[in-house]
Amino acid sequence: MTLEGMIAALAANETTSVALVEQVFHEIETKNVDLNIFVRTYKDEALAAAQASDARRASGSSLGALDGIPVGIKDNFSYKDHTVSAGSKILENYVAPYDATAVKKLKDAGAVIVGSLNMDEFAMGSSGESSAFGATKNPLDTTRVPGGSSSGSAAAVAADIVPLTFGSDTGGSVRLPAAFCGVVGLKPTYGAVSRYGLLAMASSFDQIGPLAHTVAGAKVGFDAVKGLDPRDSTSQEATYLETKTTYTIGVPKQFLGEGLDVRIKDALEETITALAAAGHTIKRDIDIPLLDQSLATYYIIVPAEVSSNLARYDGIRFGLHGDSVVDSRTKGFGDEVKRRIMLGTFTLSAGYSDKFYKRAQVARQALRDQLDEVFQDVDVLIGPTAPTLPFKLGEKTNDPLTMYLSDIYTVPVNLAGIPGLSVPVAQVREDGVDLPIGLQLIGPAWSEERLFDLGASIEVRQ
Amino acid sequence: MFASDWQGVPRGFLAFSGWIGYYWGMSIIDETMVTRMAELSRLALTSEETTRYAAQLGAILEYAGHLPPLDTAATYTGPSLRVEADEVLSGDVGDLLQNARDTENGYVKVPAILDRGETS
Repeated sequence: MTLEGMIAALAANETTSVALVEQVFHEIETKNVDLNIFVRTYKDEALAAAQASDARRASGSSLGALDGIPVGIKDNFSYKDHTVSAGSKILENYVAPYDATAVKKLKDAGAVIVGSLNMDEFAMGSSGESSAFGATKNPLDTTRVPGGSSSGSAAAVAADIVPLTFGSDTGGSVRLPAAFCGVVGLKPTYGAVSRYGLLAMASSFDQIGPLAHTVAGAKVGFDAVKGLDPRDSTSQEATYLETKTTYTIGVPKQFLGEGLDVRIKDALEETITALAAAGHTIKRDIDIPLLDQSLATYYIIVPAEVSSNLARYDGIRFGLHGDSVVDSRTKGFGDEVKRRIMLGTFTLSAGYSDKFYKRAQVARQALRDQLDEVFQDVDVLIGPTAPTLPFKLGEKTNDPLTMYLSDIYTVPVNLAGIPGLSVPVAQVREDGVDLPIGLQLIGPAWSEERLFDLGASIEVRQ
Repeated sequence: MFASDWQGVPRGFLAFSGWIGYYWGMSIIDETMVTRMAELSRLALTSEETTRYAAQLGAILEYAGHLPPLDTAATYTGPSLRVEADEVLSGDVGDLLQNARDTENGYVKVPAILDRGETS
């Protein structure tokens, strides 16, 4: 059932929160062994929270639309008195001493947190395969990856276990799995959602975002967690750009280059045709030269922030307690995390930071400037979310650079701090399975309402 | 914490040797460099890992190194930050210590390091 369906059913007294939550745990017991979506579930307390919600509804004191709705959170959201591991062995036994602001907002809205969702270790990965707790499988085809790093967050919605989940997106980690699993995922404007209590990967990129079956569901999720937070000095209470009746939509030529699966290109063309027929103005061949350098820029700056942020894992204050700092880190971190820490250490080191890190920071700002200029002429950009269909498990695990290329269309959005919404628009049949295609709508800062508006007009429920 | 200069080696030499390596078609990062980065990152690698990471990091840096010199004075401005007075918002210090390896009198107790001659 979709989030909107559940909200309506609760409001009409056709169901109860307890019944919804019991159904969630029935689904988890049936599906999780194969799909490995949840790393931890909280049945007893979820049922208690659902009972309390039903009592509030019965007495006319409901906390709002999300009151009683079962939701899932990615395993890098601090959840007070619960284990939070970020998909890593180094935090296998770490208990969060406080709630992330997003978690607190969900609890305050009466949402019922049913479990923590599998993810690539410390959100580093594009396939869900780098989790210390095993790979998540794509519910549409269990031989394929669900996309990452918010692998469990997308798979939980696609498998119809919960109607709403939350992930984090540093370079595509909400949008890519949304596209691979045929659901909707939003990477909000940097600063729209507080990062307080989100286990940091690359702090100038990380944003929390919702995933749901539909654009309308993702909007409900976003509205529940957005807003200024005194605990995150980059968070803002923004005035969002108003919706319009028709939009000027740009198609960057760099999004249609080499490496894009022709079936995804065809789906994009069909959607553009439909948007033009609906009265929107289409501007093709928008030239944003630095899009071609985005991935290189991203894979210099992000590992640099990773190596700094993950320096805190010393095995003394928290995390796996090895014989020494080196022992704790060597035993606790997995392959991809070690690779990025060393990469960042290298690009920040003397003699190399000018060649790599400083140049990448200049490229980052120049990309932002190019995008700012483009958004003088167009309201929204449209392109693919991913260059390929969901690939097979194990296909790219030995070749990190090829894996990184999965994010080629999503990383520019994080470099620029602007919002991106991935929306499923079509399915194609491969090996006897219908696989989803997601497209990405990108707008200037605080254009979320416009992305939702336009996204709802192109989405095709999978 | 981890990004530091090479011990006593002038910066210019490092940049120069990196350039020479690149020029001669060698990988931008070799096993000696990976070993050094692992040390700075407080990680221990097996020889198999060192070889594998040298190849993988070399391929990534080769790709990432293709950033063109930009004809721009753009400097990264970063996100806008609110500047406000610090205010204690967190709760019980005890909660924050619950994950520590060892505590004493409300502090995290750390292993002695000075008698080993270096940080472990």
